[in-house]
Order: sequence, then structure tokens, then C-alpha cells
Amino acid sequence: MPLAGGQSLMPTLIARAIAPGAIVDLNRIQDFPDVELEPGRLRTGALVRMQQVIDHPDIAQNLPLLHQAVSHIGHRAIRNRGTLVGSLCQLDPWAEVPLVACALEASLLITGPSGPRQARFSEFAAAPNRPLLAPGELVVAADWPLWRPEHGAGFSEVARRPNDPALACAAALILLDENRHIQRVVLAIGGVCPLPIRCHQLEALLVGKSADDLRAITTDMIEADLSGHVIRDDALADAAYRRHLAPIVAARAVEQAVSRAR
Amino acid sequence: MTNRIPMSLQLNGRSLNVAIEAREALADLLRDHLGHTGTHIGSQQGHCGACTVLVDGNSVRACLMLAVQANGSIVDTVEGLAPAGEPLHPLQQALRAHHALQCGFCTPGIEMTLIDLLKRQASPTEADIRAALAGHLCRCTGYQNLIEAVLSLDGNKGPGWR
Repeated sequence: MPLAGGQSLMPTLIARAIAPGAIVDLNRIQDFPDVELEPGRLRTGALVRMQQVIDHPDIAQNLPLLHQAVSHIGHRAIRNRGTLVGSLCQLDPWAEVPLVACALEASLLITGPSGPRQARFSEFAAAPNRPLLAPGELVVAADWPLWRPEHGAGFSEVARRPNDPALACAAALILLDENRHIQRVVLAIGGVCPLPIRCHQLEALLVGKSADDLRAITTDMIEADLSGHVIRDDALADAAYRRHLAPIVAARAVEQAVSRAR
Repeated sequence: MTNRIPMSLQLNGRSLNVAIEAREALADLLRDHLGHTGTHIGSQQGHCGACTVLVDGNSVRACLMLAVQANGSIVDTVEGLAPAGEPLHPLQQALRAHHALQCGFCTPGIEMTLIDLLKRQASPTEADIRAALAGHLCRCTGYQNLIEAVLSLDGNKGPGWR
């Protein structure tokens, strides 16, 4: 089992919840990409830490959604170790990074005994805590598609305390046309279902709408996207509360994205 | 069967060679093998922050890092702030003056986080201090006196700051 930041793996080991036969520390491998900005995409290697995402000017400028989302993660000491790719592989239902990967349709660069391959996040994220990886395969980097600089990014989260696991969170990206109508929109919700979900039906309702005259996002508007999904129900929040939060975080993310679009 | 792995580190300015099992955490190395019991273990899940130390200048949870991962690193713990026989570190003096601790269990980690904060920002705002302290659980004093202690330093690190 690979060990990168260890901020999820170590607690699991300490709790004796798993007993892997071997743990391979990746931290001294020099060959992973760092943060690489290229036309149309940003690549982050397997050892890029959460705090690096916050501090990196290229990410704040070109991928504001990721920057905003990571600011909600853990505390500095956790972010100094925890990695972006680690969070994508951990696939915790409440995690912010998989939500951003879902919204942006990120892809993963994977290597293994049968050679390198690339996987879209939606295929990779098979089930919570269960990435689709063959034995011996390792994720070496994530690729994040970039939107035009005029886009607006929005991120909203409700948690018991700031930086705690999200009860519900939402990510939105919006491009406006010259008449300030929504030309392109992506909306995804995390924390509510076992994996982040794209709200394709709500997106379709928003396209073409005037940014200055957006109707409130209501529970029934998001119901179509939630239908067929399990709603998480646990000690932190029951399913009814998460269902209640979904349109609230979605509306806040959309509103913020609109306010930041040019 | 124990298989000890040799490693070296610079702990509070002292170079050390040790041998430790791969499964042991940095906090175990510090406490059980090197007798540096100032680094406290609370939640052992990364929640409480009591074990926070600096590794190569960055704050980390010593319970969530394997000791062997610190091979070749510079590790700073609370013991390095005020070596035995020397006056308290100015941050510790400020905490003392403001009665910013009660039982003190969580204090070593809080001090290392604040050292990390003050290294990056000489005069943090109250909001900055609150955000930094959010990674620490203290169940007996509350945080107000800690905030006042840090604000009292007001960018003046004074003599004895390390």
C-alpha cells in the first residue's frame, strides 16, 4: 500500500482498521511531477501537499475552485503533509478534493505493471474509499482542466466547525456571455451522497438564465439530481438534514461563481 | 520479530543516530526512544494537535508521520524552546503572563503551532491566531487567553526568540 501524506492512512493504521502486508513510502521518489501549468490544464503530482495548493500562485490564479476548496481542509499541520492525489485515492464521502475533481472532470495519470494509463475521475471513483486501481497500480498525478480566465468559481461548505469534514459542500463554475447570461455551468455536490455528484439536470435549468435574475435554487430543483442516490445518514447529520443542506450549498456556490465571473 | 532501521535526525539542534522499527510514529520515537516526553499524544488521530512538532520547519502531527520518514530531517519540539536551566521562551513567557494554560496537556502542540505561525507572520491578527488554534483541542482553559498572549507579543519577538 502506498504512503504519501499519510493523513488518512496513518489514523487507519493506528486504529488497526487495516493491516497491509507492506507499506511503500513514496516521499523520497523524485520523479513525480510537481505543479505544472500548461495550456488548458494544470498537473499536480502525487506528492503535491494541500498547503502547496494554497500557497501556489499559479493555482490561486488559474484554478481558483481548487484553491478555495483546499482552504476548507484540515489544519495547517494536516495540510503540510496531506496530498491532493492522496485525497482522490482515499475518496472519503465528505472530502473536498474529489468534489472538485468531479466538477472539473479531472483525470488521473496512473502507472502500473501494464504500463501508464489515464482515467477520468468519474470512472476512477468507483465507490467511497474504493478507487478503481488494478493491483500494483499507482496514481502519479492528477490533471485539472482549466476554464477560460473569465470564469467564476464558487465553493460553499457546511461543517460542524470550520475545517471539519463537510456535511455538505458544493462547487460551481460559471461562464457568462456578453449579455451576462449563463453560457456554461458546472455544479457538483459533495458530502450528501457516498460520492460527489454532478447536478446535470440543475445545470440544464441554469444555462441561458440571466446572472442578474437568478431564481433561488430550491429543494425541488435539486431533487432530480439527488434521486436514485443514497443520502448519507450518520451521527454528524441525518439524511433529512443533508437533503436540506444540498440546495443551500448549491445556491451559495452558484451565487459566488456568478459574482466572480467576468 | 523486530527489524530496526537506522536513521539520523537533528533534534532541537542536536544530531542523533537512532534505530527504530518502521511501524513506529515520530511521536513514539520522540517520547519512548529519546525521552522527549514534551510531545504529547492525545487523540492519536490527528484531531487534538497535542503532538504537533516542526519537521524541516513545517508543523506536522508527530502521531501521523512514521519516524523513519523523518530520516535526515530537522525536528523541533517543545523542549527546544527553552532548554533545561534556561529562561522560558518569550512565547512561553507570554502564555504564562496571560494564564493561557491550565492543565497544560495540549500546550506543547499549541506552542509549536504558534511558533510556526509567528515565523510566517510577525504580527498575526486575531483571526489568524484563531485559525491557527482551530487545529488544537483544549478542554480546560478555552482559547481567549492564548489569543491575548499572542497579541501581546505584537511583533516584538524580543531576546531569547528561537
